[in-house]
Amino acid sequence: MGGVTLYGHPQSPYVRRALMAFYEMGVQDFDFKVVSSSKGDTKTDEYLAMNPFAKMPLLDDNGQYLYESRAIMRYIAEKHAGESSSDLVGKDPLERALVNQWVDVEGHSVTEQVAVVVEENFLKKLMGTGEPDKDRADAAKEKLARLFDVYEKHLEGREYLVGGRFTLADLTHLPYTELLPHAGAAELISSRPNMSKWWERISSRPAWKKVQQLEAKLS
Amino acid sequence: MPKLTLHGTAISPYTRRVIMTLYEMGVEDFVHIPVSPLTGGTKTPDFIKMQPFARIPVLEDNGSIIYESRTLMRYVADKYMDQGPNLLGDTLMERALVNQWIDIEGHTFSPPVMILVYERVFKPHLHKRPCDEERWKDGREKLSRVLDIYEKHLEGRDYLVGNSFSLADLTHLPFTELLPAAGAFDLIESRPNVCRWWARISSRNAWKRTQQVEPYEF
Repeated sequence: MGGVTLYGHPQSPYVRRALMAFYEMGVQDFDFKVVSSSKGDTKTDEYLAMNPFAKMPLLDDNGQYLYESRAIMRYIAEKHAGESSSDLVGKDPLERALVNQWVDVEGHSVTEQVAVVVEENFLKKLMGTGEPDKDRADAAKEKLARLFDVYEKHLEGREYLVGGRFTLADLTHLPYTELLPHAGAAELISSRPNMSKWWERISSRPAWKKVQQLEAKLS
Repeated sequence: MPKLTLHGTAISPYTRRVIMTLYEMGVEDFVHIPVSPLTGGTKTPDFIKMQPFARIPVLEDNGSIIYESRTLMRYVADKYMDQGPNLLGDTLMERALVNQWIDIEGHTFSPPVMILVYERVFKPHLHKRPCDEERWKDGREKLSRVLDIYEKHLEGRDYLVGNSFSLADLTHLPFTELLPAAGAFDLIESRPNVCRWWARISSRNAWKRTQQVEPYEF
């Protein structure tokens, strides 16, 4: 089976991260196969043979499998770097390190807390999986507030997190931050002027609009 | 005057990750300042100015500041590529697979290890509070499921990616080193492929040197 296929559900923040990389780099030539974890699609023998960790997204590039959304976004950005004027990765070791640094802050500090707020204040009600734990949500919001204070200061006089342009550092923040309003936590961003401007700027990119419209397109 | 300064006590697994990479890449000429969060070293105004999230390790390189241990290991491997081994991956796909396993380590492997270390090591020794046995058992169960996947992947393989040691392997060293103290090293020993892989990567000279900077007492 030739070609490039991305497996995932269009609502998954992790899948949206990978899709954003495809669209930002102008990659048209790929298949998107919808899989649903709630339907057990990621636990079949066929899927586990490709991603034994049973997670999405999963990339099949001509029979070579790659998973983990941030690894996929880096791969797509690097693979198509020559075809695009976009440099999402960084032009020298230092710039690459600063991009990586913010991807790590997102991945290991921010998203963990956003996921708690989203779970307690949004997902539990949506999926009927239990009563929201307000203390847990409030503790996560407090941690997020402290983290976002640092972002607010960093974004003073900056349009993007690294290098004066859109990079993977900004991209990686799109999927989970998008969920904050659903979890009643939009004011964490809206109360911070620099973060608000940054959020408005990165979330209005055409490629992000395309990600958001994909589910409607598929149905 | 060396232009490279690493801030962070080598007791921290995160700092060990960076020291290991420096030694692997043959970088000897750096200053090491053993800042410790346990003694308030990361809460001083000077430190916060450098690392506003108040975490170690931090690297100062000729006036530039970079942090996050996995970022630093990538940076050192990248910057010194000409003088040391290629720890990043030889091809585009190999580089991607190295990144994939670094993410697996960070988001799937280390979280249960951290639970085990917190319950069995930090709580009793630092906070003088008892281990939550249920939470510890749950951590062992989670880590076991993850290691079953590693066991299968490492069948017929010496390293996680390609035919040589890479950051994919390196990134696992510091937390796995703590498993004996956390009462869970049997999970490694009971899996032949994982055990073999662990013996290989932990016997590297650079790792032995890293451990000697601040040997663990347990």
